[in-house]
Amino acid sequence: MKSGPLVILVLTLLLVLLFFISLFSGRVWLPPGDVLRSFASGNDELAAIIVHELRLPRAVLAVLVGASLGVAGAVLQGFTRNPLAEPGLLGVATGASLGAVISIYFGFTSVFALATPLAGLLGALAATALTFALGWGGGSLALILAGVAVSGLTAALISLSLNLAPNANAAYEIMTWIMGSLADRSWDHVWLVTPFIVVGVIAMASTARALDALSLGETQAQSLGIHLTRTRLIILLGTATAVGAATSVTGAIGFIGLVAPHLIRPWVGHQPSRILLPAALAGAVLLLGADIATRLIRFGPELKLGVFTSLLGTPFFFWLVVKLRKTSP
Amino acid sequence: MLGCVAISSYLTSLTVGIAVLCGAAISAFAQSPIPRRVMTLNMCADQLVLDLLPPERITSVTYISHIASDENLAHLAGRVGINYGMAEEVFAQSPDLVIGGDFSAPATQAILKRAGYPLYEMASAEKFEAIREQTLFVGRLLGAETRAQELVAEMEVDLADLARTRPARPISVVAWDGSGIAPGKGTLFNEILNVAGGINLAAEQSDAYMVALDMEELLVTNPDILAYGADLAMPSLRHEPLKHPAIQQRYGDRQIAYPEEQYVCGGPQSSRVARDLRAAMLAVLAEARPR
Repeated sequence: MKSGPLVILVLTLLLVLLFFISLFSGRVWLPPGDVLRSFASGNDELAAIIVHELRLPRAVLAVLVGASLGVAGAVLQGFTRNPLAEPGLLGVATGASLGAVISIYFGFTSVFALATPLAGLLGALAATALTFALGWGGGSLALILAGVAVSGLTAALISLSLNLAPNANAAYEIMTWIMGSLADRSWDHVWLVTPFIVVGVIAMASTARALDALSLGETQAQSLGIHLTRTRLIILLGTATAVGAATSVTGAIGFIGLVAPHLIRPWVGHQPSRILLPAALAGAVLLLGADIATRLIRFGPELKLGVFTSLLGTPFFFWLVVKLRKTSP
Repeated sequence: MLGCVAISSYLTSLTVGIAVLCGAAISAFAQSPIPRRVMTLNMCADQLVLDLLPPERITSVTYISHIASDENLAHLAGRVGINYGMAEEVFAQSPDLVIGGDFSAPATQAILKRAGYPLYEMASAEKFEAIREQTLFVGRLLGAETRAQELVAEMEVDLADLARTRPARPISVVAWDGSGIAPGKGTLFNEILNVAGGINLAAEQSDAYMVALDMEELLVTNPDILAYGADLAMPSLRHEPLKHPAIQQRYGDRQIAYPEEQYVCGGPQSSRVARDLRAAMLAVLAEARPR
């Protein structure tokens, strides 16, 4: 496919444009002049606080989280050779939510700040490990089914921890948190998750060659010298690290990982290694775009990002199912 | 509404119908019109009934009052029984009168109504005028008029004090805890704040009962003080945004924590809550860097 570099260029330009737009969008209207001047002036003015401390870290987080969801979706779809695979389906996101919920409600967060992302990470790791263990050797369908079962289990455990949480408002708060949002996040959140996301994404990207070989089938890949167990382990650790950390800061954000690889495949083809970078960019563009939309669409309280992506993503999921039904016997 | 009480026997479904329309159903008792033993299913009713009646006349109050962080309330509740708002508990404890509320145990209240059980649904009082009327009304209902008048008189003394010592310029406040919603017009918080000498900027912006307000909007609204519902003993997500650098920069020394549970139920004690709020606001403003 020749258009790969062009797609990357277009997506990068789009991302830069959206990043710029996101600095101008919020529930408070700041004149564009004030936004631009805030970069020159000191940090005390209201416009500067709003742009530097609220909108900028939010946009950076959207890019980081969107990109990690996009890569995770592309890697999981390549590895399972199933177009429906995404972090949400394999229990990674709900596992991370469970870890974060436990950490928040049982007070580990107040002990040390890294507790929540670490717990998110551990939750994601545990859930993914369980999914991979259950679905081992049964092909990609078994893996997806295992993911559904693990998601069900973690959702039940989240409900249990809410049920037992010491705080009476817990149920309401966590319901809201699980909807997923980037509102009011700060640079602290950015610094907290960046190392995990970088490590996770690098780990996932390092499997690119193995994924290409795997597209020929497991036996063929092994004959090409691919170490299946090691690849599986790296993918497990990589997705859990990146998506686990991202989810622990934003809450669950569905469908970006599913949709991003599908959107760019028509242009860059189906070779897994060629999809990774465009999928990361597409994930970032989708999430940043969705986040801007939640700020501009107003029905009273801010529309939650995770709700918005799910509302847009579900029809896409339906379309995928219908398409699969047509192509498979 | 408060004065609308239908006295009925258990048998006449017609009167039950009228009583439901009135919003308050009291069934009469052969011997005495004053209920000897009262049970409450609503935390706001708990507090008022505990203030009005001696413990031997209360069969039980809700478990919420038993675990209240307000030590005085928890102490008073500890001297009477406990209930979890279940209809079976009502039948087992068989009080002469059940007091419920707007939002408490709706299914239980519906069963009690169908069974023709003596039930009074206490509306929530979010204005001092309503608190005054409600306290006197429930006092009459329970045969504790004198005690009710005492409670109201104490409240009036506090309110008169607060009005006399009102700050020359109202202190602007927004109650914001990161949940993205601030109490607005018609809330008990608004009423208590106004009596304490403050002005609620969220209520100035909108006519809504609860006003949606995100961090950007809060910063632009620019109140003198940011008040947050304090339940810091319990880990909670709601207070995370208060640690945000943007909030710390503007409101690091202009925050007050208010005990949220005291702003849920309007009652004679609400004037003391207003007194505490006044003191907290003045203390913060005395320490804060001038703007």
